[in-house]
Amino acid sequence: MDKENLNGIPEEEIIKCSYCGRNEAAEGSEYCDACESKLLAKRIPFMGWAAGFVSLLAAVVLFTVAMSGTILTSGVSSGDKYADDKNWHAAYEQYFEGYRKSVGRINVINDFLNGIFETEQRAYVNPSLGIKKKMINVVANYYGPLDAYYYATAFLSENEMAMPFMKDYTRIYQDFQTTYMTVEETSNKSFEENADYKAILAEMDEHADKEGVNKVFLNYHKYVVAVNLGAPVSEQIEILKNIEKFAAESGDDYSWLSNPTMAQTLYDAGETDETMVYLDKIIESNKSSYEAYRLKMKIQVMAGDVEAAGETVAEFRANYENNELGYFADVLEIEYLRCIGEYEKAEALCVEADESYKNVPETNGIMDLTYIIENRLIVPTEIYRQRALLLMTVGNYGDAFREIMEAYRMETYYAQNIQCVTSLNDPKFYGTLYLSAFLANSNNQVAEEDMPDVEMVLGMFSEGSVSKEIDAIKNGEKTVKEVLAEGDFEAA
Amino acid sequence: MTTAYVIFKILTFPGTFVKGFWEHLICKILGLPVETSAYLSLNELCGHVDHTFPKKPFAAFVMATVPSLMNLFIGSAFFGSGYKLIYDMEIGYYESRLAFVLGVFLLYIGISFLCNIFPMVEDAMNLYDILYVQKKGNTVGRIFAFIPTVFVYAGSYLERYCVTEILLVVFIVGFSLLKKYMFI
Repeated sequence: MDKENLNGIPEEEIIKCSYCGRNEAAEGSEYCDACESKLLAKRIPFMGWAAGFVSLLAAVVLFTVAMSGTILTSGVSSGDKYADDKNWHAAYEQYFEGYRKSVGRINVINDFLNGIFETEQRAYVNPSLGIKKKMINVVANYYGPLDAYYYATAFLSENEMAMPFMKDYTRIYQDFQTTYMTVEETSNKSFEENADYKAILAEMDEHADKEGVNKVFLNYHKYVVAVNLGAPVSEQIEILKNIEKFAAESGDDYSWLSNPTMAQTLYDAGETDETMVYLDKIIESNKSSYEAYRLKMKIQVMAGDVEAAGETVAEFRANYENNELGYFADVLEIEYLRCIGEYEKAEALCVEADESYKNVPETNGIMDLTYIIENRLIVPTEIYRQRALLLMTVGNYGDAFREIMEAYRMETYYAQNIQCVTSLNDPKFYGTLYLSAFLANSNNQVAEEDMPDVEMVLGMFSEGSVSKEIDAIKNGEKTVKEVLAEGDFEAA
Repeated sequence: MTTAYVIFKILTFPGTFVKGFWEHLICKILGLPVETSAYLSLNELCGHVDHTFPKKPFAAFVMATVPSLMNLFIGSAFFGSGYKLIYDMEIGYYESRLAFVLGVFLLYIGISFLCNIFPMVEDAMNLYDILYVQKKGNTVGRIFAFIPTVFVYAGSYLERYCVTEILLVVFIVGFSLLKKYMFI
């Protein structure tokens, strides 16, 4: 008898359950009822649940952290974008902001881990080092590797200083130090009375082949001696060309050392065309270089190309757009407006720039530096100085003195109490201070309450300690306008 | 090819295992019988579960896309975090061993998930068949489902032949180049 089921269908035509292979599959299914129930009831393994939900939870946490944009990597991406544009100042600001925000959170994580492992103040997580590294690299690009090294010593631990990314900075610092120590005794002769720069420079050259002496730095030290002893500018340029020559031979990049000094020296020599070449080189590698843009703008104004100077100022301002460092753009524009004789506009911009400081609290009558730093402001002494120059140009010497004196008080207070870097040693700064005091005094524009300050300032400077331009004004060889509204537009 | 497939699946076992779990979970939700629940079996089912194919369009769509999306989300979060730690922060081994190892770990987990984002070829074929051969479901739904269907269909074949791993490398390189223009 043929094998048939109850419905009379031949056995070979019956669709069997694909799981057990014995029973007939239910209608519309590949399994029999018993197997389908069994398979539907099949549990998900515990490991599946655990892996699935742990990974999902971790992903949600990581996603939230990444989206919050305020932890670990905050500021890095935008800082990188500025760094790619060689806008180092803005890049530094972004990195610093990210660093500041991440430090607090990382401390929480480390405290938590120290609690779990019962350890004391151990840094299990230190990812902010990534930002530190970027900040140090930015300093190297803005100022140079020597400054990056000095900056790092105040910023990194001993172990961190030994890390690979510090190797080049440390090597350059050691080269600089070794060279300096080798020639120190000779170069110190420049402080002796009747020092002969030619003899000193020749003696310094004798150290050139000594062990550890870097010829680039040796020539830099020679340049410093030449400047200090008033060697002719042509000889200073010769030394700087040697720096370039030895730098090229070394294979290392020393443009951070040679370009700014060469630009300034060529400018002092009146070689404005060549200066512009160097300034463009500096700007190409550092879009935040206020000094390079400033000199470029001045050269263009002096050449009568006011429009190009305006474009230079606008280019610099564009680099500071959408970040908190518009201060520098303001300072450059104020100086530009002053140089082209737009005194009212310059004054208006001074007032506008000063607006940012309205809410700064004062300690002993001085703006609170902590507040300034925390609120990403810049100590506004250069604005005060520019305003003083502006006021002197229009003959208001009394107010000019009051303005620069305010900046002087600020700088002195910070220098004495916080030991921060100040403009006190900058010839432009103390030149402005002295000139305003002298002019206010000699034109009887000193308010009674300012008289002690004026006397103090005049007493601080001996004959010949200020610039030739100021001496020329004192001796009646030049007018104030000839110095401040023409030529170099400066009191230094 | 199955050997290469299994090797890649085992190399990326965290993502493989969890992908199997999501498929199993979706089968449970959709009421689809599952024959084997070994997520790391050494055959072409590695990273998948052997299940009955859904017959309704929405169920077929969910089966083919939701486990993929879950792995895509998890993989992106892990990969993105690891990428930021290692590449954005530039944390090398010497900077912070713990952070570096964590970064590498996150990258690996992320990659393992991203290498396991596509459904089985049979699931993708089933979806395509239901929506565009049998033309089940409404027209609007089929229009909206077209691009995801093509994506998972193509992706499932790429994953079957281990091409996703190569594409991932291309993506990482491309992302490295693009990232500087993507965030500001």
